[in-house]
Amino acid sequence: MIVWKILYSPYDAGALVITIIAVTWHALRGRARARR
Amino acid sequence: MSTTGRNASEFQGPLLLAARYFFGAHALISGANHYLKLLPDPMPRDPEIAARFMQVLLDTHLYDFVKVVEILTGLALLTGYVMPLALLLEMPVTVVICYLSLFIAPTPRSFYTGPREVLLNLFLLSAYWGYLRPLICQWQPPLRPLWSLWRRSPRPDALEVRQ
Repeated sequence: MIVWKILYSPYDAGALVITIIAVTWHALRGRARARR
Repeated sequence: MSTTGRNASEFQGPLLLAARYFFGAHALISGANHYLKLLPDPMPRDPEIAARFMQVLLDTHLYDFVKVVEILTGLALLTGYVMPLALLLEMPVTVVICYLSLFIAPTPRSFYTGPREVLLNLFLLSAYWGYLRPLICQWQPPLRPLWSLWRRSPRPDALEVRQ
């Protein structure tokens, strides 16, 4: 619980969601480029 | 720009990408929330000196300026434009956040978030070291004022980093 309290904040959660979307997008775009 | 630089930006690793987007998104959310008030503000209110410091920042509107810097940094990092400049501008903000977090208003969470901000900023700046190196490679650089640049076009190799 204390670890959760230290690590969690809505700011970090929002930033993490944006990060996951952006990194996935980059990876998919890279893979599509490699196929071409 | 050198070929090495172009290749490096094309094949940047997932760790660097993640650091860039996390730091940028965090800065943008933090900056925008100051104006939109959607999330609770994590402003330190304890001890009293931290509360007084934050109050002075608010009263003088310096806090608004800091949040504008955060928004611009966030936009730069998320869109990929002028990232070295944005990271340099953000550095004083992250240093103050880290100092507040570690020495003025320490909490278990701030011991994690303060150094994290500085480390992410330094890591991202180190990824753009080639652009920063010309700023510090000469101790006493000759003047190249903006107001005299129109007389002659800069040498094409002026911005090249010496290998």
